[in-house]
Amino acid sequence: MALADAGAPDLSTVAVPLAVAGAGLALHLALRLSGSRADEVLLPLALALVAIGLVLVRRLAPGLLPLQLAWLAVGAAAFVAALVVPRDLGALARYPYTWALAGLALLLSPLLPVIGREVYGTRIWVRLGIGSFQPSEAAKLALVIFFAAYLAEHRELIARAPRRIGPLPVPPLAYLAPILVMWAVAMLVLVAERDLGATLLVFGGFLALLWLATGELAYVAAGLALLAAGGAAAVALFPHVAARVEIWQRPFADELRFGASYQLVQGLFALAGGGLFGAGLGGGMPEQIPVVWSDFVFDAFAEEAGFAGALALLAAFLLFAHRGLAIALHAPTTFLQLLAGGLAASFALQTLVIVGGNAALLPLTGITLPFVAYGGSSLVANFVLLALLLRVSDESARARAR
Amino acid sequence: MSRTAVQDNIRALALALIVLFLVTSVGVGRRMLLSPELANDPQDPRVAAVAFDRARGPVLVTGSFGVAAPVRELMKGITPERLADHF
Repeated sequence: MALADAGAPDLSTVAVPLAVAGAGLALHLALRLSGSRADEVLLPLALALVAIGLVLVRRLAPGLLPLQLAWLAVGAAAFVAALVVPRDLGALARYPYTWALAGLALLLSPLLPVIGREVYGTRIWVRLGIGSFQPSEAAKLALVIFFAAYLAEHRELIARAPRRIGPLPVPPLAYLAPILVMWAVAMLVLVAERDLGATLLVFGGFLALLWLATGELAYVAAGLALLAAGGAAAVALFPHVAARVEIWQRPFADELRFGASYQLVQGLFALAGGGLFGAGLGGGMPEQIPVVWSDFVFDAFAEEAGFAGALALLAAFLLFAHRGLAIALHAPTTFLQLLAGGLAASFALQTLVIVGGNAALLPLTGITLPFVAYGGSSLVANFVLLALLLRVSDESARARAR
Repeated sequence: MSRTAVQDNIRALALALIVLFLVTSVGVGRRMLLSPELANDPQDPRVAAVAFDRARGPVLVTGSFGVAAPVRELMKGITPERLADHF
C-alpha cells in the first residue's frame, strides 16, 4: 500500500548507495591486487565523505547527480592510475622544476584569453573541449610535489642560512628565489583571478612545507607577514579585492545583503537555523542559498544535521589530515615525509578555508569542500591526493618489513 | 638537520592543525548556537516560513458562521468549532 502510494521508486534513491558501494569495492580490490599494505582508515573515510557529498547533491541539485556519479568514476580511475604510476614514488622528486612549471602553468591558465573563463566574478575556470575544470585543484598537487622535492634537496642550506637579520635566517638568494616567486604568484592569483582560495591554499601549503623542512618559525612568520602586507596592498589598490573583504566584514549591511553578500547571508541563516541537532535531512531550507551544492555545502549539511553533525563532519576531515600526517611521520625518506605532510596539510587547509568562508570566519573563496561538494576537478584531484598518501603509507610499511 | 627534526616539525604541524580545527569549530558553533539575532532575522526565509505556517483559525462563511476551511487546533483546548461558538 505504502509502495503503491509512493509510486515507482526513484532510480537516484538507489544510485547513491550503489555507486558508493561499487566505488568502494573497486578501489579496495585495486589496493589489494597491487599488494598494498597501506593505511586502512583513509579509503573508508574518503568514501564516507563521498557518500555524504552524493546524498547532498541528490538533495540539493538532483539534476547534477548523474554528472557527479560520472566524476566519481573518473576519480576512481585516477586513483587506480596513481596507485601504479610511477612505479617508484621517489622518482617524482627527480623532476622538481617540471612540477613547478606544470603547477604554475595550471594555476595561471585561467588568465589565458581563449580558454580562461570568469564565473561569478572569479577567473578560476578553464574550458577545454566540451568540459570546464578548475586547474587550481591539479596545481595544488603539482606544487606540493615540487615544494617537497625542492625542500628535501635544499632544506639544510635554507634552514642553516649563513646570515641572519635579527631572528630571520637569510639563505643565499638562489635558494630564497623560489620563496619569493611563490609569494609573487600567490599575489597575482589574488589580484588577477580574484581567487583568494587558491592564494591561501598554495601559499599556506607552501608555508606548511617550509616549516616541515626547516622548523624555522621565522620563515613562517615572514611568509604570513608578506601575505598580510600583500593582501592589505591589494585591498587598497584593487576595488574588487576590497569588495570581497567588505562582504566578509559587513554581510548584513543594507546595501550588500540583497546584492553582493546575498549568498553569504543566506548561508549564515542556514547555519543559525541548524541549532544543535538540525532540521533533519530534507527538513531545512538550504536551497535558499544560491549555488549551495558547490559553494555552501557545509552550511547545507549543518542546517539539516545541526551543530552535532557539523562537528562530526569536521572531525572526519581532521581525522583524514591526522592520518596523512601520521603517514608522513613514518615515511622512509625526507621527500616522502614532506610529500605526505604537504598533501595532508593542503587537504586540512582547504577544509579550513572553505568552512571558515561558509561561517564568515574568513573571506569567502571559490574552493570546494574536499570529497563532499559538487565538482569534478576537486573530486578527481582529491582521489589522486588520497592515492599518493596511500602509496607513501605502503612504502613505509614495506621499508619497516625489510 | 636529522630526520627526527622533520618528525618533530610534523608533530608541531599536527598540533597547529588541531588548534585551527578547534577554533573553526568554535566559530561555527557560535554561528549555530549563540546567534539568536541571526536565527530570528525577519528576512530569513525560515522565520518567514514558520510565520506563514502558524494556524490562524478557521475560514468562516459570513452570515451562517459556517466553517469553509477548518484548521488544526489553534491553541491548547481551542478548536475552530469552539471558536465559532463565540460568535
